[in-house]
Amino acid sequence: MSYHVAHLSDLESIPVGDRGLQWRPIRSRFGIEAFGVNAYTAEPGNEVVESHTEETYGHEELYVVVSGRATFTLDGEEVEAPAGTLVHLPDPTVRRTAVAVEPGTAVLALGAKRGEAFQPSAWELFFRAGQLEPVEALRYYEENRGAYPDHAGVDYNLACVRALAGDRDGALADFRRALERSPDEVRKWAANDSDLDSIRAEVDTILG
Amino acid sequence: MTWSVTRIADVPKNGPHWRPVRLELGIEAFGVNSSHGNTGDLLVLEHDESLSGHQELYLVLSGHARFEINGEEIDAPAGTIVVVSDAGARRRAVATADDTEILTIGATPGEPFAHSAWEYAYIVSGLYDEGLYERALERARGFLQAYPSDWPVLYWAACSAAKLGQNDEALEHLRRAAELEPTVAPRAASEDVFDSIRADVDALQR
Repeated sequence: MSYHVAHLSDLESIPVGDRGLQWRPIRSRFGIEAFGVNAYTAEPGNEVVESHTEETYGHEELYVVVSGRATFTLDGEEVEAPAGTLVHLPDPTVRRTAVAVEPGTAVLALGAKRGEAFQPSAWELFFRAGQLEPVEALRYYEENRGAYPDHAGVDYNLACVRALAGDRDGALADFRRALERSPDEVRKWAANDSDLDSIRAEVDTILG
Repeated sequence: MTWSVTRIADVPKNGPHWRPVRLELGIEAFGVNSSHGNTGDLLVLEHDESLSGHQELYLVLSGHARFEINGEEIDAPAGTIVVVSDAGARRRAVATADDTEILTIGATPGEPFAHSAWEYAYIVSGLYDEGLYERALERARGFLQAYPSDWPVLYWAACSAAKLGQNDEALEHLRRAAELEPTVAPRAASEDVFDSIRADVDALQR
């Protein structure tokens, strides 16, 4: 098949976080490898773009409000965005978020890094695994980790799901690997992460 | 400003339908443009992406369109996503309702994004076709500072300069374009706009 067709309303809907955000995967569903593209939907008062920066991935982003209406907050500044609005963020350090104002608000998010071949972002893995039971999440990570070699976030999340699934030794091995790769970030993530409760004593010892 | 906010309807059209979103916003990480028109308008010109190798995604933002991909028809109301991963697939789209807007995103897997040669040439040729020769030449000069080997822009810069009677500049652009692309010289030989420098233009073919 040389092409794929879908309607936005027919895309899989995966809840993310606790602010009503619904992730509608596009890139992974259609096997797009040249740029990042996903949709998000939310009802009024809920997040339609989660609060984040793009410092980890260095992505330039473009948000397209496809339907409804959203209020974006960009480094603390509010921007009204009815359907048809384009919000362009070339600077990865800008903190960005958006809340749906009207029913049926949908936002298309596009991203890639200037001057580099596109690589799928590991957060796609985290978002999907976050909706699975620990044993299923573990299977999902093991099937997909090969696409993200040397990625501290993937190792760290694997440690979390192993800890939740009762694989203490495996969890500690992945935790050590993550710490080696990105010590400052991993210390920050681990500080209050209840996913690591079952190995908390060992984690605290490793962190000194 | 570290961000910009624009309504897609406010992105000025170049020609009857095309909105150069990427250029207007200064996006450098992927290709993104839009086309707007009414019932019967051809909004995605028939083409393939064999040269660029682009994967493309089309999103019908408003209205209703009919896509044809390798001869297969696809009915596409607002909200439809069409992904064409096969760069060799022939594709086109026609509006089947008024106020139809189709957003197009494209890039090549495994390669850093680089703008397509046609993109800047579309801007310059659009202004040229509207008779805005000074503006066309001004935009071409700007593009050529960043991309001096963009032969389609060089060609339209030559046409614009010739229209303005700036023959030395016209010939300079044309010579450079002909060095870069073999089809330029025969094409220029048949263009009336170069009548005032005909002998020099004909000499490019030898």
